[in-house]
Amino acid sequence: MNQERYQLLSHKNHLNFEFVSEGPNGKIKKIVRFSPENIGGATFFNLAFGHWDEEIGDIDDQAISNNKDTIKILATVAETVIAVTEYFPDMMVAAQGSTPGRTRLYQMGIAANLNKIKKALEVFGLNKGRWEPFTRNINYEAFSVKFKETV
Amino acid sequence: MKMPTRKKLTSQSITVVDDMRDYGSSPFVIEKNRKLKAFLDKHGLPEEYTRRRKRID
Repeated sequence: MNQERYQLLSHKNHLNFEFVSEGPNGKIKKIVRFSPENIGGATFFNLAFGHWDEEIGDIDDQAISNNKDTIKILATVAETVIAVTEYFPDMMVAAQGSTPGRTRLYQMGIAANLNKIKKALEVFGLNKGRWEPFTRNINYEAFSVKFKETV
Repeated sequence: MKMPTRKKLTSQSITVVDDMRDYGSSPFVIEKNRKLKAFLDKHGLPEEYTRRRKRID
């Protein structure tokens, strides 16, 4: 698979990534942030993604940029997930869209990159309150990804 | 005993920027984390991960 991606910039802490979407509506700065959280004694990363809004001085994930590059953006976000799990191989990343539509968009991104992702990562989807291995064409409520270990 | 090995997967170089902003204190990120944590507090994490992670933490 040779999917197009945007060039990524990373903070030296490897928890913040930036890239620039380019299309008919111009250049739009996109941010991916991984934040450590703990549930029941287990630490993991939460994924937050959106575009940088200069007016509000914050990230926004509600606006639709319509830059005709959704597949390229999703492939780039997938690359950040791979990168962060390579850098922190014991950590899982959890993600959920801010709306059901955004969650479906994440699902599209995982499904489109699944062959590559599954070579080294285990992907789970939350389906009716239970975590199960990610399968295409199931509408999940949230996702989690962790590095696969082979001996 | 063999140590676990991991496959490298990133296919592009990622440029590390010294002066990049850390978005951890962004209100958007904080709110997003709060919502996802509340959701996962209810549903938990995959059991296999929780077991392994508790040994590390």
